[in-house]
Amino acid sequence: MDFSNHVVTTVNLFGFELWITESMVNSWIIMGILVLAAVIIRIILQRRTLQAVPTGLQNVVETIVEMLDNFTVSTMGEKHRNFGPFYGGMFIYILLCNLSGLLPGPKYVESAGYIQFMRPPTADVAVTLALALITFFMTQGYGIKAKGVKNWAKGLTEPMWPLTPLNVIGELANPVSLSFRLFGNILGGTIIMGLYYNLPWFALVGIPAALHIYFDIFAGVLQAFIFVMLSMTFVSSAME
Amino acid sequence: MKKKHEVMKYLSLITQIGFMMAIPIIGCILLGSFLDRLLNTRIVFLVIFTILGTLSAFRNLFVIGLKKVKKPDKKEGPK
Repeated sequence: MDFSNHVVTTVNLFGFELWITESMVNSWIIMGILVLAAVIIRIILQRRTLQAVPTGLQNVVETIVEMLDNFTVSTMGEKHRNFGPFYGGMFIYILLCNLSGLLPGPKYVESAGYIQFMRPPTADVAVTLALALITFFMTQGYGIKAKGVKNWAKGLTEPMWPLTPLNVIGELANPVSLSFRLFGNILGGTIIMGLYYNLPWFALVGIPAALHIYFDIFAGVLQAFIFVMLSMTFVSSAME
Repeated sequence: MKKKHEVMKYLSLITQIGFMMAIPIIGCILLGSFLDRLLNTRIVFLVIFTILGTLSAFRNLFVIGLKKVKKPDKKEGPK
């Protein structure tokens, strides 16, 4: 059994060896699906006249957009409604990454003669850390923008200056804890499912479906929701 | 709907407590041990950073606690 993130190919870029990993390829596939879906929906909606009382596809898209907008507004407040598209996009991307463990992946195991399940990109700490670093830089950036450099730096020395190292360590721990949480949950699910599929055939009747519902769907949706929710909480509290 | 989201928000923060306490401690222990090996200083940095990590973990707990406590409205006087 091998749960590691395999290198698909290496690319030489300006003398550096760049590893193209399995999670990068899977991530590109998910991004491709999202972009394609967005373009197709856009083309379909552009051909029609948009209705005041929506029906069909317009109704579905409006419901999703409104739901994501409300989610942002209820967490960050009405004045931060403009974060809706960003966090909506982030939520859909993480959700699809987490749920991708349900899909048969691009990898074909020749020796066994079957297509493996897709390895969720969020089961790679590089992907989750990148997402958490976006949150970290947004937290610091919007904090500086809202308070000014002087007040932001002063915030790190509160309530008194000897506590500055604690505040700095605490701030640096945020992206690490955020990324480890998502990574650990999804990798845990991937490993358990991988171990379970190596049991004898009689253990594989029906039970894997229930395990997929828990580890892929329940944990996947919950972790995507929590990641975005915490990210929004950190950014909005940095701006207060 | 807003109340439901509030509950989920605090539930997310509560479930994050464990990570936010463990990460600074583990991170600081690793950093202290790395600095000791780099500078050949037995356990000096390990001790300093372990204390810092533990205090920082408590600071994180305090910050999460502060998020739950609403700031009093300035217009309202003390009751």
